[in-house]
Amino acid sequence: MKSIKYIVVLTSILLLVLYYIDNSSSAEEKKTNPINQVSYQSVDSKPKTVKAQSKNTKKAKLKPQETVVEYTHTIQPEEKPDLELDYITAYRDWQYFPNCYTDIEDFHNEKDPLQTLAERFENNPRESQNEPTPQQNMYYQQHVDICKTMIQDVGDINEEDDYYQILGKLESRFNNTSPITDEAKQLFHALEMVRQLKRFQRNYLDATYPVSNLPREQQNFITEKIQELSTVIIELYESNEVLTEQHTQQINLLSDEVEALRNQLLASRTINQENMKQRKQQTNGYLNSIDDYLHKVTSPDAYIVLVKELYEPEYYQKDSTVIQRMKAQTGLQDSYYIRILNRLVTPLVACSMGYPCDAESDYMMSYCLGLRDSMFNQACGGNLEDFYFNFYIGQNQLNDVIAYFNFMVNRYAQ
Amino acid sequence: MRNKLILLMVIALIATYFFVKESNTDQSTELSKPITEQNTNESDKIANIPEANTQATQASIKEPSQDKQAEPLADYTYDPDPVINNHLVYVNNRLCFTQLGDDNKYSLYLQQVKLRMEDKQVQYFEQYKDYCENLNRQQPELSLTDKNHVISQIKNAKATSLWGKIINKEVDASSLSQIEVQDLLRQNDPNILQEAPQYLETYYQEVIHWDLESVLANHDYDYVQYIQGNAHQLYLCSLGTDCQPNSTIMATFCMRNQAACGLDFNTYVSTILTPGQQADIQLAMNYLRSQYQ
Repeated sequence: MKSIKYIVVLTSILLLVLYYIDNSSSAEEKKTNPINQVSYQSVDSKPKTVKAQSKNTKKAKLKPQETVVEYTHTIQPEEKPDLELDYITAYRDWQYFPNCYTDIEDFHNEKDPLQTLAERFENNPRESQNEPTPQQNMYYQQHVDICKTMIQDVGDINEEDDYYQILGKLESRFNNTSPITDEAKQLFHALEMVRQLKRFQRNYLDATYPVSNLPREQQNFITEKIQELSTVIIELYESNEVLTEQHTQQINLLSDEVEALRNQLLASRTINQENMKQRKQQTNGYLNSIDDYLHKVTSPDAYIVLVKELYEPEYYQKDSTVIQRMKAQTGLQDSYYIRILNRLVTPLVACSMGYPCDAESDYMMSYCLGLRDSMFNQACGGNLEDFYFNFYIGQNQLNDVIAYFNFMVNRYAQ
Repeated sequence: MRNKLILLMVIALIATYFFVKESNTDQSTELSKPITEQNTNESDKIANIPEANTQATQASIKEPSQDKQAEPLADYTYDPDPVINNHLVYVNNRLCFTQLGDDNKYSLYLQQVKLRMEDKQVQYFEQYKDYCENLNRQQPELSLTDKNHVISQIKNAKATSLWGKIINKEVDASSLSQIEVQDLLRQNDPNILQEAPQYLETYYQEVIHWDLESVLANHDYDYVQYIQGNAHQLYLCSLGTDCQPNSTIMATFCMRNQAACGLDFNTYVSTILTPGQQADIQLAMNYLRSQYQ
């Protein structure tokens, strides 16, 4: 009898263990994506101390956190640094601030930002993750602190400025900062070059629009005549509830006259081909100047700014000589695909030039928290290269990324 | 004896547990089955790529009659639903409607765009108008010079199928259950599939896209969307939809990229896209096949 009891108890335990193992493994499968998953560092249960920083290296002046979350780091209130803000930090702050859009709303509504993050995950269409991990909560809190610091730095004393006001103030702060270091001067020069390029591009586009060869007075006369006839047509409609045959004939005649005048205007419009060619050459020449300058650039921020202008193929436009050369050397021919690759390769090259790509960088926070793209817990705690090559980029795309990356590094970042 | 009996019962209980577990697993993995297809070896994948029509690689645009395939869909009598037929007339000839219409503004716009384009693109679009005129002569019932006529035909037609009702907005596609959407896709009807990604956008984004991320082991949203679009198009070509150099899809590709001008879609994939992209398109096509068949 004793042995029966023993067997029954043993079997029950066995079944329970089997059930537990089976359930836990399927729960794990649901939570994670099955392929190419990279493991990330687990978070210690100890509260972690993270320096709240307004991107880059500037120290924060924050009040102690009021919302206590289990994994929240402790932040010591600090005085505003005496050192003057450097040019690159001011630039990165301004660039980062669009990530703070929802945070401003939360501050004004006194809503717990972690609640906002939780809601974002609830609506996450990726079935693999429906709530933030403790690590994501921790990084989100860090992001919130960065936003808060910027708001306190430039916003009004009552913190009532809206998003656009603060963004404008961050831009002004950047514009009022002088570039001191070599890298800062390169960024300054790169932004100037982009402004000049935009002017050339606008001039070229203007030149592709047809312009009427009629004298200005004649153009005005035709336009006024069209308006006059159109008014008569409208009056005919409005003053007669039922149109007689005579009215209809009159309307048709007037409409034909309007159409003929419009066609006269359209036919008079021509494009100054010579002017257009010159403007195109000017733009292309300037792109080559940017390309020449990019060889000398050591600032990753300047690289990001310039490469965006040089290597984004425009649809419905001739490829620049810079893009033609890149297509020939990399074998990448589809302009649409090149745009997709740019979003991966530009950060990778920037990282190799010293741009922040670690766990607390703008890039990684964006991926970890879904600030600009989808959220990936695989991105939290790691660096960009590991995340890209161990999880984000598929094996079949890898050769294209590497070919494009090598082209860029060999050309500019050596 | 009693002990043995109990022992047997225990064994039977364990066996039952595994049996029940196994049958549950079968059901739950039904949707993810296609994902396992990615294990197909590389040579199989390449062998599955539909053979490119090498004759179609010439840059010049052919007469419409030369583009007909063995099982043409272009006579628009494939599906009896008049809404679908009229709608496809419009969708598949969209560029000809604009080329042959009397819209002066569009002519001017085209003139401008041509100025900015590469020579090969300009040449293609100059010949495209001739192609449209020929098509209109050969199939006057398409009324390619009168876009409004086709639009009013779509509006006045009465839908006789669920897909027709979705197109003319009698049925809101977002109100369909997942099973209804899957049933529609499994009809494997090119007339439905051609515009399924637009009309069934939610399903494509929330089911197909995420599945494809797993299939491709790639989590770059834009890349996966791009591969999905190409794989879907390649699948449509295999069903006989127009993928020739002067089809609407290839004309659109040519506008975007001069390397595509004058190519049919299969040749475009095999010559313009990289080997990695081709391999991903093949994986995605295998997955889509499991959704559509």
